[in-house]
Amino acid sequence: MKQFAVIGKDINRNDAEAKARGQALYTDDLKLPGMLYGSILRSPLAHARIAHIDVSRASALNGVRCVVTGEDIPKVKYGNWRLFPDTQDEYALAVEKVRFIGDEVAAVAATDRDTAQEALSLIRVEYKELPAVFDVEAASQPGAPVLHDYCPSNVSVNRKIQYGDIEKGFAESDYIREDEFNVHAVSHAYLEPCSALAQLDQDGRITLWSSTQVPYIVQCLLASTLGMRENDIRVIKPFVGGGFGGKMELRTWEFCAAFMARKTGRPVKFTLSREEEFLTGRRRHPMKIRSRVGFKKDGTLVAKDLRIKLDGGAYNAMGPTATFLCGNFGAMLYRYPNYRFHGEHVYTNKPPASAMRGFGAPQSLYATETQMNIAAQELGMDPVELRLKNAQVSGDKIPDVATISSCGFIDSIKKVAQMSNWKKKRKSLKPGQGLGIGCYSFISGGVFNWFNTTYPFSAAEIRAFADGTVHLLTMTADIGQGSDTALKQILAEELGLRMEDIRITSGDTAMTPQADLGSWGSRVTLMGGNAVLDAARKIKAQLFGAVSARFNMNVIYELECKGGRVQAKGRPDKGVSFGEAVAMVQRANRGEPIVARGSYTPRDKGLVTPAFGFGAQVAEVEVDQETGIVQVKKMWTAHDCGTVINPKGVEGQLCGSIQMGLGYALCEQFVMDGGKTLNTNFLDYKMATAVDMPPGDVAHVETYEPEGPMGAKECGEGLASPTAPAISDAVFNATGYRCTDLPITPEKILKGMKRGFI
Amino acid sequence: MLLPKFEYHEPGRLSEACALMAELGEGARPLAGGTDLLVNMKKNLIKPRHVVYLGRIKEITSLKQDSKGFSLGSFMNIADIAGSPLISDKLPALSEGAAGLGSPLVRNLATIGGNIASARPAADMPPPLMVYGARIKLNRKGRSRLIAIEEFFTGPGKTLLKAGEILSEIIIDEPPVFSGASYIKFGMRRALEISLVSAASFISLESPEGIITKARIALGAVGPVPLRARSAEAVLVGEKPSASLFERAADAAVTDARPIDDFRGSAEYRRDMVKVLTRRTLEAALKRASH
Amino acid sequence: MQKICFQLNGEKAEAEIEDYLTLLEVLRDRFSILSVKEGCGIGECGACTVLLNERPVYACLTLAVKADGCDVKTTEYLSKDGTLHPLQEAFVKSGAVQCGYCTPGMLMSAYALLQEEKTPTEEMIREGISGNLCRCTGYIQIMEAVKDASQI
Repeated sequence: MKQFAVIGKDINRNDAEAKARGQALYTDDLKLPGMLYGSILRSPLAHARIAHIDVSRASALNGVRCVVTGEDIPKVKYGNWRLFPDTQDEYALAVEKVRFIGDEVAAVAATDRDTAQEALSLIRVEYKELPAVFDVEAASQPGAPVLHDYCPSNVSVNRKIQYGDIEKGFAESDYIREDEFNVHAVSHAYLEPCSALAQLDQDGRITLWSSTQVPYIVQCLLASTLGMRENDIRVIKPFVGGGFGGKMELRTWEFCAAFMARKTGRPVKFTLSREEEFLTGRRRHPMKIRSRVGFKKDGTLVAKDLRIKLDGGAYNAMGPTATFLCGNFGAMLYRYPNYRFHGEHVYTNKPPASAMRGFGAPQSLYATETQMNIAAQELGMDPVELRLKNAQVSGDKIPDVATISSCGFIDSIKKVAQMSNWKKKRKSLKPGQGLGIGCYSFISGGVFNWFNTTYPFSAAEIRAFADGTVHLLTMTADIGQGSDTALKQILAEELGLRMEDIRITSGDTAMTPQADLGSWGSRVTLMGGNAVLDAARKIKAQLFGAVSARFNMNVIYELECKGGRVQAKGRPDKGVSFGEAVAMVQRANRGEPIVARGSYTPRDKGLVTPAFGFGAQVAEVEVDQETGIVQVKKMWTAHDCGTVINPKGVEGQLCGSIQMGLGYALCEQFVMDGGKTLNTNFLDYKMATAVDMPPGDVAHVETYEPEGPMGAKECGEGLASPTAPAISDAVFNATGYRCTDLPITPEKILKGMKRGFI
Repeated sequence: MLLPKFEYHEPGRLSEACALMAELGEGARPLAGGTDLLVNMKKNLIKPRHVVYLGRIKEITSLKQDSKGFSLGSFMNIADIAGSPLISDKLPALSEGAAGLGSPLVRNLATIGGNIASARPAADMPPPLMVYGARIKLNRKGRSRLIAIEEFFTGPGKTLLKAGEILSEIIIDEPPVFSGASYIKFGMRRALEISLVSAASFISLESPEGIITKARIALGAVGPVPLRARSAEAVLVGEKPSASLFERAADAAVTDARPIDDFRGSAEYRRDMVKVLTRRTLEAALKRASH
Repeated sequence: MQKICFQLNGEKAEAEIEDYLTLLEVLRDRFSILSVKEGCGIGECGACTVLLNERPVYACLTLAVKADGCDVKTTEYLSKDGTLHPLQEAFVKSGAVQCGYCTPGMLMSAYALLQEEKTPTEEMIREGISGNLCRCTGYIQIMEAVKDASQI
């Protein structure tokens, strides 16, 4: 294994001190002179035609500077799937129709928040209510209410994958299992509510500060919806208080802030309330999953037939990607010689679902993993053994999906079984106690160019200075996951510098190189990291040339950047400090500063991703058999994220994903009454508090990913998937209740126990 | 989130507060910890024109003990109640109720009077207070009245409190020897939780091994108001404590409960939990009684 | 309008404020104390936690007028002299900070806990920060940080 100086070390986060001092500024902390406060009027109905909107009383209210409705804005639809304009189905403010409770109808900007609120109450909207549909089955029946005229079937995306001979596969199977799983919607529940502040620059251009994961996407879509050129829009990402997939599209308030700033000439800020976030916010796709798997008697997998209907809510949002990915994930983890997938993304009159940590994997893998556990039980095999028998390994090809490069899956399964004392513990459990397993695989960024970017997927610029420092500029968006720190570590390692020698500017579309697709799909470490390496190597080439000339070196010498020096390998005397080397190059170029651009775009990497992360998790639970309350006693995790760049950072991602996975399994859910979200606060949206969190043990099963920077790949997002199936299996182990419709509530457990074993 | 506009008052004495409430009339609301009132105001559920803050009234902030029992000022803080060794020793069910209320941050703001007067069916103070037979003092300009706490609640958010009236004091008789009580708050999370069901039980024994002479059971979140489980109490009185007796009492408590289906849980599950909690609180109460 | 006078991070502070403003609004808008974040506005997330007379409370559910005559401390207090407080230091070192939005509130709850109990047990730490939600860390590294700080 390669020896590193900075990689693999517990380096403090770049921004931790500012955050611990309370000095880190988020969008809502920003205030500009003359700034107006925006507020959004939302639809109280799930499906209705807008007959008439009267804003006259609101406009006349003292302090109100601007009121806009769908009639006032350019009729340009947007959506992230620019490659397929048909999928772009959203206006910033409703035009003619509203399609879910919370759909944005009008916006006001006023001199203070109270006035903005009051103005909303003065807008009169006449609706003609339409029949609404809330269920994917009903919505995809002929004659169902149609949400979008362009899509009379309500099925907006169809994705099919097929390889091998599925019929033959089942015919050859000794054991076939078919189940239906229903998985539910959950919230990103990032702590920082969405916020955007726009300013009209003196030259008529727009600067937007926004709590976003995707500055570049926001820049482009804002330009098209405003009818401006991309370069007329500057998007700056201040500190962001978490995203988890919920802040990765252009959203109404970003558009309205910019549109109204242009109209009024004054800065306009919108910040959502928590109630708005819960009532109308994006969420993880609920899915109806039918999965049929066939095995040989000895447990060898032969075939899988997977049908998924995604409940997309009222707009596509990131649904098309989720539809593609849940089919791809269905083919992951195990070797299915014959595989068929059909995914349908269905419109319903509910708040739109979109990307959320795992992006289709938590749903798809809940089915995969639960079914593996059922099969193990029915085949009389240990779930660990059944997995080891079928696990994917490095070099495996999945037709039309991917080729697996580095893969520590088998080692992860073995490791987690050993850590949890699986074999012995499973046998020595008391009634009410259970041990269960779940596994995952996840992408390190996507290779599919749905946004139709004309730039590299990731880019970096490095400026080197004679004082021995460098400046890294990148459009990547640190939203709390720590990507700035990871990228700095990669750069420090490559240039032999210390962390404090590197200045970083990130997430500013006017100042950082074009482009970066943003923080989603665990893409930043691999793609942003590769772009940084690319630029760093160009810097090194220049420095090496100068140092080689200076010492009149034989051409066979290898040079290196190490310990703040540029030198011949093994001959530190033939070398100079990093700063001196920079000065030499600069002098040779008559003062021109050293600047290098690097980029990364995945090419010839299949359809999905350049590299997969893998891992396995074991949960130990204790179920109160009278109340059905599940206490998760401990979690063990073994995972392969390639090279661990920052152990503390990786472990932090992992603990966070357990909190989210535990919520997905047990207590988090949107309780809906038709199209209305009933639990719109943190009291009733039950995410785990500090007293609810189990302790855990972690093992990093390190592999070296050839496509990743310094051998690194995805971490932390894939781990959103194994927790729910592991807990579910443990609950089954403890009570005999096997959950096929998440979440596993105490009530379902008690009912299941009364019914007896399935 | 913004509060609607109102005028703020902070009287320094109870009599002053009563006079002010009388003068301001229907549009005035007393403010204690604010963890219910301000939330409801932010959600625009209520819009009082005047808010009368009770926190500067020294008379209602302390715990007093005399030969007969205890008097708790209505502005006593929940964190202080949870942290009081005296309450933990003498009124452990109340201590349990306070310790499980919301979160440390809620407990540092919330008061016992506020928790009672807001009359939420799932509130944590009423069930333990009901089983201790607490009475509450309501003050109006020039007069006061004392009523049993269980008579106080008339519906969700509704009480006997008249316009201009202030809850000032909670009076609890010293529990007799060989008595014990317990409270269990039941929810999905272990903090920041609103009870799905809660139960408090009190029993008094003739002697450590003797029959039950008095029993009180109160249930939260299974009706429009916190309820006494009177048929369950009837099962217990005059009998010697036993597992089967407690089981029968727990079954009876289920018939006393009037739960509804709502988004937090079904009526059926709540009934199941009434049974479990009643039995568990009785077992814990017995342990304390025979100690 | 009310005139309030209070101690803010060890210094005298005065303001003329509307009756209906919360301490959260006044600290942010009048005193530019931006460490106090609004995550929910109704006392359920803890991002606005401040110490009111040494006790951690939700600033979003505290009327600003109530602060009159009181002592108010925010995260800014911890590193008032420029150097990080050991608790802040521990947060930085343990990886307890990710997106950072809950961090100032979390620090105030943890600080209050350590003021009251020099060497809290793990259970006390969990309990002490149970009113502060975090979506990034799963609390594990936060609890480690509090434990580390208590052993200094």
